[in-house]
Amino acid sequence: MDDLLRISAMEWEERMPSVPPGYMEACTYLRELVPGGVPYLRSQYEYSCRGDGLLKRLKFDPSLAALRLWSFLFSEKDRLFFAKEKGWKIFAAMKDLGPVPVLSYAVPDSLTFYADELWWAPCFAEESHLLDEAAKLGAGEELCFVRAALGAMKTLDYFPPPDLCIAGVGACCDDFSAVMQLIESLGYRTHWWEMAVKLEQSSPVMSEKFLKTSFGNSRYQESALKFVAGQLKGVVRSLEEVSGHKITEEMLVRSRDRMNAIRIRVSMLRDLVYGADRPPLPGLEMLLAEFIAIHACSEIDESINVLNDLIYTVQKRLAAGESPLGTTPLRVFWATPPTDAALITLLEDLGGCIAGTEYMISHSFYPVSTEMPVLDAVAENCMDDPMTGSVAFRARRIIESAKRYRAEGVIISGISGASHCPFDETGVTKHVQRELDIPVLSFDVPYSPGRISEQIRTRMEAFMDILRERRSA
Amino acid sequence: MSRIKQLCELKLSEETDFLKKQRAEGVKTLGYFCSFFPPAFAAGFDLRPVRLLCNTSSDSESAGEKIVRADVCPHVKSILGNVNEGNGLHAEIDIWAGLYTCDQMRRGMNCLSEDLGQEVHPVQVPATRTPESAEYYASQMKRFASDIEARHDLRFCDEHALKWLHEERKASAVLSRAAFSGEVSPADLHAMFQLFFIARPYGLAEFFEEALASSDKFRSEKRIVLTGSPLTYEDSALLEELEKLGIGVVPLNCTGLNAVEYGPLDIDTDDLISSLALSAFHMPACIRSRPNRDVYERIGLTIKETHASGLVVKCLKFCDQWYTERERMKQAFDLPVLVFDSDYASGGRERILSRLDAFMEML
Repeated sequence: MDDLLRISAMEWEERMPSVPPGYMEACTYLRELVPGGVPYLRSQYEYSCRGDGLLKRLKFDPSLAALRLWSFLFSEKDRLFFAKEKGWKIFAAMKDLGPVPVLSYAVPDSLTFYADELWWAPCFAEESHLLDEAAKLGAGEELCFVRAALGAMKTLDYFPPPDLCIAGVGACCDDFSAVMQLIESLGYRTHWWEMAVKLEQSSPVMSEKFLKTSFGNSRYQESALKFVAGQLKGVVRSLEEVSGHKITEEMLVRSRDRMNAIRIRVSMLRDLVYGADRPPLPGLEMLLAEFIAIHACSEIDESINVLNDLIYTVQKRLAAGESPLGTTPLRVFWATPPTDAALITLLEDLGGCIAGTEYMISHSFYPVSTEMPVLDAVAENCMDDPMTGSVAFRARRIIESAKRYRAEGVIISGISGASHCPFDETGVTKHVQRELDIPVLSFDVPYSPGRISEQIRTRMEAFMDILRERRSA
Repeated sequence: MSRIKQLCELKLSEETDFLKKQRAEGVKTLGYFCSFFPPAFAAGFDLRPVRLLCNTSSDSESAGEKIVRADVCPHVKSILGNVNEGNGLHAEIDIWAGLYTCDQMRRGMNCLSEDLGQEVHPVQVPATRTPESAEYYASQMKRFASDIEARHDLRFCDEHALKWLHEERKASAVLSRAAFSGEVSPADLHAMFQLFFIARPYGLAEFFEEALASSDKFRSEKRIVLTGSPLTYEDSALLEELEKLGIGVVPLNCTGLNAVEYGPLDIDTDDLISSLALSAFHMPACIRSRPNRDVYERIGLTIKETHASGLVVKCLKFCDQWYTERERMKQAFDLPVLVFDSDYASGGRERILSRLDAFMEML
């Protein structure tokens, strides 16, 4: 048995002097831009003092690899500003959550971030100025927290003005479609591309040819793939115009391979952690690691180092039978990322662990096929996107993963105002209960800076009691 | 009740009865909601097209809430509720053109198919308006046609489709002229458009002409441009209140002028289905189009042409696409702009009145 425990931001701060200087020096980003790179390793406490107050309420894995992960994610805005200052191009990908960066990282001297990810900012910062700014522009509480991206485009305190916004629309949520339109109306150069709906192979659709994706095994209609590949060609043209670089297939292949290196690692990490009886890494660290897959957290090379470090730590713990969680934690599959990250800490405090996730980015865990031209392969990857499919499609993915990772229950945390959540929660719950016969808890997460909603706390406590009773029975 | 409304209601009742009779005789019906669907497509298969924007009330919403959560668009909830409970014309539909427009409609169409077991043919209406998107839309309509052929053993007849199209466009032209004239009251205009969505188009232009000729002209003190979410047959409280205030309405929404101003029709006799689809796709852009600057340009142009004194944006609750445009709308147009959201609850009239009072002062 081990003595690994999750620790607080303050405890990490106290441990910082004991971080080996060599490790500190290895943690740098943008080494292509600055000899030796920019050092970034800081404690979660320090990031909390810089404005992300929620960090003070979370519990973290005590490994150096986890410290590196947190620092890497929270330093993203620093490298975006730094790169912009040095003349690099900054691209804001929006909505597709994974495919576009495979193309945009083919552009030399550029970084890509996802504006969508700003949805977490008001919750981590525990203050609402981004939401307030968005409201002034028309995006109020009727939209999900993704409206914070609009606020951030106005204030520019999380990223510099992007040189190009690449907006995926069509088969997407209404919220972000509306937000992206308002972002364009602020004067940002925006390239719109159409995300195709993935149809169910149902009885009325008889004359479409249906295929399966190479890795996600998702069924899709062939016509959609061809259309999306054409749309992505338009994205590449737009990137060429803005950057002044001709993007060749060789450049795309290199970018694809680098992004695949990340996707393969994230996928491996998920299997190692969620597949273990005692997950060797807590849910919060896994949540952060999973999100690296969509855009490399604005730095591909260091992303790979961060993930290698995590995998090494996880493998070591698995070999030693170590885990920062309890001896027999209750296994919970989590669907849709919780707006309030403290809910994952709460789940673990209540004796649970995360055993699989579907944070609506699961298409980014599949490698982009190397067996076809890059644009076709990225288009194929779009067909794995749960946003573009039906509720039944998403439910199937949740069911498959929940089975694979032996989940005892499923939590679906909805997002207030999101257009898909009212359908997802009822639909997914119905499918999961029918197929798996395990309890499902669903709720919308309200904005409650500084504390967890009492109602949600109570419901999660009751849910964990149910899981405990079922296990003991 | 005005004469025009009376005539329209009578005609609507006859058309509804006829539809039921046709159906009893074996004619299949095709239901749709979005104005980008070309009804002549259905007519080409000898299907009876019906645009279902009716039977909405707080009851239909509540019925829909048995299938989806309450925080879903009232229109989508009402569709699901009406189909589930077999209300009115919703119970008379054999085949649905499931046009995927906004996210909620897409998911609503999924529910119609998966939860309620209806035959829904999915067609994505692209949000982008590029030539590639238009072609993609047309290709999906062709797939829809192939599926109808295969599933129902029906053949597309150009002649039948063109006959419908010809009559439909004649009726559209009358409606368009009436809407711009300012001489038809808001509620009468609404009744005419709603009849247009349900009735067969044969002789409809003449019917409209006769109704207009035999009625007193509406004299408005001021005119406003009305835009926003679709208006259903029953969702007429705003129009009635505007009428009482002597305000004329230019209905610039998909249940008004946007439903009758077609894109250019380049008839390709070798591929009429694509021609119909492309013409429908090039109708005035919806607010969900990306980018949606064309919508703004059209509103601006209409305001100018009709000398409108104000703009009303009537959104349905939970309609992100329209409601989030409210600040932009206020900035974009140099005239009073009233934006509000509503559902189908009967108590909404009081709210409309209080908002209209303030708006009238601005006018």
